Amino acid sequence: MIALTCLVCLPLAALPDVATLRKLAQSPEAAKRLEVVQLLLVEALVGELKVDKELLGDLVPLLDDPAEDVRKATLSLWGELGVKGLPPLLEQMESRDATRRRIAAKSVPLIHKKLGETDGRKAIQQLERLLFDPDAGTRAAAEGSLRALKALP
Amino acid sequence: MIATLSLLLLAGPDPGELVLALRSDNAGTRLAAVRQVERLGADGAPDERFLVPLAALLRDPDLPTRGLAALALSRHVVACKGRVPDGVVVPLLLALGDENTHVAGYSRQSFVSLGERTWPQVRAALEADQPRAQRLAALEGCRRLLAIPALREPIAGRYWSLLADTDGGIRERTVVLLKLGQGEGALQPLRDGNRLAVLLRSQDRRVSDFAAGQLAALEEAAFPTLVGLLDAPEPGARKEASRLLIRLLDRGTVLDLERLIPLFERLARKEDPETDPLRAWVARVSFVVLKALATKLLDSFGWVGPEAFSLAGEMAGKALAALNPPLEKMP
Repeated sequence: MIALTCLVCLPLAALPDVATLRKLAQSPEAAKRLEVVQLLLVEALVGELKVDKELLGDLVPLLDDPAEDVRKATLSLWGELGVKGLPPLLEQMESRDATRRRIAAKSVPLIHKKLGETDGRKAIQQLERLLFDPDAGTRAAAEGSLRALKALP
Repeated sequence: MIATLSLLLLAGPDPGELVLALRSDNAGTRLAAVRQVERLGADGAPDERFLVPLAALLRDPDLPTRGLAALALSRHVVACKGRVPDGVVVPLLLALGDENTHVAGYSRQSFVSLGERTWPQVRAALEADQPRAQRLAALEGCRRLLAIPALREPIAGRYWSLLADTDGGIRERTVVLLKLGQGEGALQPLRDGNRLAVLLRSQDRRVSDFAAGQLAALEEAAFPTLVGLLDAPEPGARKEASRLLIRLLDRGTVLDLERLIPLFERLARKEDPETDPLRAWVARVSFVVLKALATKLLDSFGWVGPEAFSLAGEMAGKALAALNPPLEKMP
């Protein structure tokens, strides 16, 4: 809701290039991170967002951003992405970075309802693998998500 | 050329090589192999050839390897349509008790999926010459298999035999599983009085207590068995039989005089501290019955009132002493 309210103030200008957006997404400033998410959300809402895998991968950590408005905006974006939001999550669940794996694992229930049967199963299979991740935080995140999805044996 | 290359790529890794990698001495190789094998199963290509090496990895000390092996096994187990290959069931049984709940959970899923076909190997794993940990794990496996109606009878038979096992831990666990099975309605109480009599004579208190409970549930049908147990060499068995008989008699379950006579005879024949409470009960009841008879007799002669009542008591006491001297001595 916060994200949508802020959209009113945004000019409908051309989107910056992917490199700039990726840089903004990783900015230490919450306002800049929020800006990039909102820009993409506008594009998604008008149906013009061309999904860039690497950029979306960089946005996955924002699903667990310390700033609440960034988190909510990213969640709205993922809601708009629907099925298109799954590949970056799956990819992040295989990241070498344990934090990214953990955040991606935690985020699956947020989008699971929007996935079809096949994609939903893929997401659950990936979570099942993470139950045996070397990182304890990732294991706990996977367990929590599988429990939320009632998919634990 | 291009077509051949594409086919090779599509074919993916050779299962034979993956089996070898799963059995590798190198931990890294095993982990990489189990990852690939798990994905093959998840992608809808289950293969029975992986079952044995995957089951062997359920004992791997490395959690990711062990966990992915359990997950992979749950994906590939559907490929097994006939007899379960040797080397799968026992590791699965042991993994049911894995310290990691997810390893245990996926192993349980595989075990349940194999279902009735695991029974021959579970039964073999329970044999007395098998390692203790394996026998205890097989007992837990039996609990899962009770969900299959066709296996309830053979499992119950095995449980009852195991109550006489030389290993106290096995006996203890069996008692618990029998109680659980009966509580869940999967197992019926044992109605074989002779077998229960043997179990009631067990030196293991848990077993004899359980047998006593089963005998009590038999109600009047347990009566001959209990009377027979009054002559058991074990004092505990005699005492328990005496207690159960009092319970039956107190509730008026056994009213047939013809069946009571052997009990009275047995009590009159032999004094035994273990059966004293039962003797006292019989003496008390006999006195009441005899006194009622004497009162009726005096009444037929027209003699009623407090004096007649007192005389009836005296007559009953004498009759009791004449009929059964040891009973008369009882309080």
